Amino acid sequence: MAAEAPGTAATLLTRAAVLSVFDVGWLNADDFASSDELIGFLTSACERVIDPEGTPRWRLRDDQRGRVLRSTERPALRSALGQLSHRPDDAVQAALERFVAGTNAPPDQLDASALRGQLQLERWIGGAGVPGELQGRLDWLTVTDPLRRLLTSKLYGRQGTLQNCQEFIDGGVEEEAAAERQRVSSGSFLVLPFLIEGVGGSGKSSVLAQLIIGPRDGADLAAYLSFDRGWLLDGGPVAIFDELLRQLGAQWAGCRAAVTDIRSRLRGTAGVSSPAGDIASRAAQSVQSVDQELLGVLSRALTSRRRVVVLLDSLEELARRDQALADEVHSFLVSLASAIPSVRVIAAGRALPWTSAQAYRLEKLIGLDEEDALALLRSLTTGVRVTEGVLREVITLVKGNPLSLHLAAGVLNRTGDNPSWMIAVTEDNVQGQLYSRLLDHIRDPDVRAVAHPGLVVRRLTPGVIKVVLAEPCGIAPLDDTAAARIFTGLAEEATLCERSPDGDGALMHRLDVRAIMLPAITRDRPGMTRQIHEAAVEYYRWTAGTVPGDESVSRREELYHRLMLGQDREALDRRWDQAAARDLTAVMDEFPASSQLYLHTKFEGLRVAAALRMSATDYEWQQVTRPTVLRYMERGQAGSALALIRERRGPDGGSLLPEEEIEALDRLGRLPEALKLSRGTREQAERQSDVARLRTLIVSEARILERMRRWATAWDLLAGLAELDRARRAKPEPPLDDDLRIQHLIVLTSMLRIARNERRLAERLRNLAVTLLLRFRWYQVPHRPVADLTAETVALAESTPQRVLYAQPSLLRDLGGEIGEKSDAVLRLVKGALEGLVDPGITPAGLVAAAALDATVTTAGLGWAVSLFSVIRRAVGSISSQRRARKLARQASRGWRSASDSSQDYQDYKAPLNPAEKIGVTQPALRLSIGSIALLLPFVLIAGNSILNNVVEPSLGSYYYSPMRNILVCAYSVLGALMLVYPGYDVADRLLTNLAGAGAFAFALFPAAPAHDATPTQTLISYDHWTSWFMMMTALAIMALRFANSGPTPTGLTLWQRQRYALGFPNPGEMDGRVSAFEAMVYRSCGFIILAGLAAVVPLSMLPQAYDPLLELETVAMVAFGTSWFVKGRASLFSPVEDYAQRENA
Amino acid sequence: MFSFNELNRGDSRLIVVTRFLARAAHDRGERETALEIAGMPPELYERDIPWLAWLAAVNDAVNQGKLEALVEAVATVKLDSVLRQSLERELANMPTAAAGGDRMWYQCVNPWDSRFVGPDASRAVIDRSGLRSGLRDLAREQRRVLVISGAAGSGKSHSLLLIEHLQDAHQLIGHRFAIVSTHEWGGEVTGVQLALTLARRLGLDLDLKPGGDELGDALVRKILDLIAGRYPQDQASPCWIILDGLDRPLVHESARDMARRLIVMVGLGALRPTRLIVTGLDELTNEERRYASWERIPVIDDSLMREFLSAVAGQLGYQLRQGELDAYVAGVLGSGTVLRTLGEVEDAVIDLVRTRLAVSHDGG
Repeated sequence: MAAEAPGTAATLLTRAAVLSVFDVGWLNADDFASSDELIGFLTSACERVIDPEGTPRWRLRDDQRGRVLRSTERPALRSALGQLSHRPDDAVQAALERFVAGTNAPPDQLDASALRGQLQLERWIGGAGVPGELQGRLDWLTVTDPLRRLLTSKLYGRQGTLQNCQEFIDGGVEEEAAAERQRVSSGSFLVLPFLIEGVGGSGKSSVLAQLIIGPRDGADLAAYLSFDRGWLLDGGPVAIFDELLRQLGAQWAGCRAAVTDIRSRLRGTAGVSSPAGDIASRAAQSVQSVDQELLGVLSRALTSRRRVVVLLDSLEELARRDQALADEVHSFLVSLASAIPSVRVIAAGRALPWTSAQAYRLEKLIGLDEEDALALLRSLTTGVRVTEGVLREVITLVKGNPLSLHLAAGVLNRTGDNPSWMIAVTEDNVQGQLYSRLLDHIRDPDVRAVAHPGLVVRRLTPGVIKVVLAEPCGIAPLDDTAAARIFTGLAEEATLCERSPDGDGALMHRLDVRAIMLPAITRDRPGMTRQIHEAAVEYYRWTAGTVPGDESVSRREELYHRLMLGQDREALDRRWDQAAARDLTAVMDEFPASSQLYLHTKFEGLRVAAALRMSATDYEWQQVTRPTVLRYMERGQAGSALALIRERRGPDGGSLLPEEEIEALDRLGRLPEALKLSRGTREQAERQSDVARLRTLIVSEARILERMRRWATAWDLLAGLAELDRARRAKPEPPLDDDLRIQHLIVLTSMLRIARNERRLAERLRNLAVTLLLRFRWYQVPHRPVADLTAETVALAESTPQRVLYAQPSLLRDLGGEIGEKSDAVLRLVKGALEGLVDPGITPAGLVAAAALDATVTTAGLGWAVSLFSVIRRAVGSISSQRRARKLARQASRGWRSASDSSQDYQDYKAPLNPAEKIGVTQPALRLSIGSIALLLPFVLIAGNSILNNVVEPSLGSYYYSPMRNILVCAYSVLGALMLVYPGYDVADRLLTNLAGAGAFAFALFPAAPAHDATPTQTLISYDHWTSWFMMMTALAIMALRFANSGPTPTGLTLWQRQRYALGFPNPGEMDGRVSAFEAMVYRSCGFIILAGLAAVVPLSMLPQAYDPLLELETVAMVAFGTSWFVKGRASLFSPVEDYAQRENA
Repeated sequence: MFSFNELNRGDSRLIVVTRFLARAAHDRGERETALEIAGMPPELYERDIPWLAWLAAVNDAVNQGKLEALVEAVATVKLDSVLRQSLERELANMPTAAAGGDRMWYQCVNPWDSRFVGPDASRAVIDRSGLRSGLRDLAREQRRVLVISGAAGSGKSHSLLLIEHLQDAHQLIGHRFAIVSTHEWGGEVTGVQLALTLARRLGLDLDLKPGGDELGDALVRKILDLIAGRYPQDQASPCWIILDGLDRPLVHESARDMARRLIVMVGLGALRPTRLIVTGLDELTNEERRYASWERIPVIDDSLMREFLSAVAGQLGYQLRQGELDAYVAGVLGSGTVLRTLGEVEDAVIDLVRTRLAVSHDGG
């Protein structure tokens, strides 16, 4: 390569390449380049940019510079640099000059700006990719630089708190190991965060900063997340985890690759509702949280023994958001710290979103330590001759309160008086007294007159002083000069005022001073306060329209004063500006209740205090509560949502938020209640002819019915809606908007899903029937126009903009499952939406199946039970075959009968070796055992839990969530096992008891949903719980009836007689007298009681919530079941000719 | 009515404007007066050569949204009431690739498929079939947001060339464009700078005075809120917002956060009717992916070049043989140790197609 390519263009290129930006004159090109050449060079190779000082300059385009820097040797570049008359002074230029000189600066010696310059250079010379080490260092400096500045500007100890934090971080190794063991063994180990609460200026952030860059710098891995960065809160745990990962990767190269991978997976699978998330017709779509598996991956990646210290600052911002978010964040932090033993979470804020019970430790920073306070006072009173004794006296009297210290220092500075005497005689309101003392010593009477009433306004400008404050403060009229003089006088009162963050030179009262004094002045001088607010409204209304550059601030302040005046909704709406008003949410507490409620209706996601809700009208309550309820449900906290909804009822005792209550009940799995409410509300909407609401309610009702597998009714409801939708689509005007398209598609996909689930169930039941050798069909698939419906859905989906479908992931998933095979366009969208969730090489059929499976899981439950039963049947069948083979071998060996005797072989197959006998248990003993357990179980559960917990659960299954869980599970498992080995009289007995046994096992394995806050999985599993219960009890009811028989079904009976016998109603001639009439009555009574209980469960459970009969019905059914088995066992024990088994043994 | 402020940075018509103004206000005094009237400090453009001064001034005026004012100022100084119309006429007579005509060496019936764009078809848009379909989706409002990511030098910014070409080809009639490129800054770029520049390009005067203690993140949010509040929602024709070059190292994370917020806002329809193109965002969250079509473009390699040359040959009615293709691809991509930049590859492609394929097609 040439040292410097000859020619004008090449020279210009080389010179421009070693300058970050340039002015044409800096190139010294006048000697060798004509103006045309220069113009050609500038237009073809350069671009106009703004340099870091804000001046427009030329810059060589990136592609040109990269080419020159990569292809030109260093000496030529050095030479070019030497020929320049002027060089810019910026980070990129410094990096270029280091490159040209061949000197490399280690990354740890570069500040953030220099690192950016270096990275830009690397991009030019290195082509693709960004060096990880430089980027990591830059990322970390971006986090820590503000903290370094904080520590440089003020460092007031808090050594005690710092020490406590360090002890929390270090925690004993033995303690941690023990905790880990406890976690592994019980799964209940939780690591809670260390919380610090304190007023502004009390040193919270300093403590956190010292933990990151103080003496421990580098000892631990750390992450600093401040919630005043709004996106961290908006994104919830996912954003918090992502930022944590980013910072860990920035600090430690050892985990960078793993962290990058986890971040990629996190972004792909978490966040706002994912395709696998929810049911499309629900108003709230579930937010996916951080996958626990990712926490595990991070735990494995953190091979270092260093602690991971997660520091959360400005927690008050989280405290301002709704409780659902606070709970979710807390839950995530606890999961994080519990999954990764080296993690310690320390969080600080002026207000806390969590209680002390949710913290490892709560440390309240009320006052500074004496030494810290002394250092602060000394720094504030520099130049005043004051003894240490006086300072210590002040500190003791104000208990180290930072604001009081500031005010006391102000008094010392201003008056030279010892403020102690004043503080000492003040029982409370120390700060008010100090503040008054400061006001008294303002020399200019006009400034003094304005200073205190001036607290009513948030901003002080000469205009505000002249127009708003002068008259109420008694100094009107003021000219501009006088107003400016007063403004300057206030600006000098550093203890009281500071510059406004608006950056326009206005003053504002110190926030802490204003927070203390504003309520007092509002209370003491209401007339003047109102006068100032009204004048401020007029002033800002005028400036918003006339003073250029002030519109946004003026509108915000105008709204502030209107809200302070408690103006009505109409007046506020007329002047509302969402962007300008957002800042006002930070001072929400200053406003009267009505204004707070108004603000809550404008800005969702903020916490609404219970007291504020109490003061709201029903309309306001609905407005502020609905968003909170929806967020609870989005975050899987349906129980909390329901509790909030039921906080207030309407005048007629009905729900004020019926749609939301229906959805909450639906999510909690309380489907009958949801259905009842939905129907009631629908009737009401019908009476009111509220069409939009009616539609929502019909869709809700259909969804609930679908989940209850009352598909025919759900179909009918949806079919009616679909008919209306078709009529609407047939009209050319107005065109169908996006929302309507979604609603129509939800109806169509729901119908298709119902049809598919009906077909699926029929198919499974056919399989089941085959398995059971029962050759009848008892479930007829209804005729559904699936082909037409599919074509209609395809047409509508394909004409819907992609963006609309992508914004509805649950619907898109449903579409994939229902019409994916018929529409390539939809399938492509589904693949895009499922990216990261499915194998990139998945086939179209696989994709449809994946989407369909997800869609099915949301509704199906019985399928699981059927599948499970099939598996059990096969397993049992296999065991039976083996038993039969073994028995035949044994019989053959002892010559009891010929193994080839087919008729006898058949008999043996029907009555295989009783496994119970092998362990020495006779059939009567089995019956007695089963009966005893069933009789005692409900009473043991109820009594046990009442003693331990003083709680009676709503159903037997609910004892799963009580201390009686083990007894419940064990008892049902034992019942299941005993019934599975119970031989009975014949194959029908065995089929029934096998069915009951499987049901008992399933009942134990699949618990009922908890009464509150059930997750979707729990709700889903509960369907199997209840399915198995019905299955078991139905089989046991038939068994109870059959106990009236005393042997296998005799031969030679007609079909009718066989069926009567099978159900325990033999003809008199078929009775052998071993079952008394009394016994037969007992068995039949038990059987019918069980059947009646089963039949009553659904209708009775739909009674008002105040009475839930489930526990009673279950108990009655269990007692009937136990009685029948106990009586049969006891009777057969004393019968002269016992059971089949005994006969066989005889 | 046409406004000169609609011309964007890098627009090929700026050369014509520069030439015109340099001709019109040749005298230094006239230039300084015009600049002063337009609100641009004359001392920054004190070059003796008028062309050089006007070149800088016109480009700066585009960046600052003052080109319209500058043209008006020159008209005022020159007391020429038809100056503006004359300039408009010159711009209208500019040859473009899309406009076709005998002078063009390359023509493509469907502008969306055009492989060569710009004046005299001087820029090659290699491959980018995904990019083309992404733009098509935006134009039809199938999607509202397109995010383009890829390695440095992969050609992410080529979307701008393609859009300019589509405009020339009257495919986006009535559409407006607000382009903010991080290349406009010589130093670091923050979210606040990006957001304020965007507001200016959208013609919104936000009356904000950043410089207080307000956090950058909060200020960006406020600026976007203000944009949303004042954005004219009732426009019939869409506005395309293009944020270019967010992957550059001098760009602060806050600027990327600003782009992320904007993606969600546009996706939710808070700025309607708007299309948004963002280049250089390498990671998207699940939420952002709901609203954005995400095109990840690869670095130009052997297979992409083969595909491109075959397609171009097909458009020119020429069937490439395997041997020819191998030779052409090797010639374009080069075989030295120093990889060619995208610009060099583009130049080589244009040279190849003009001298070989287009000539062959013409029977040369």
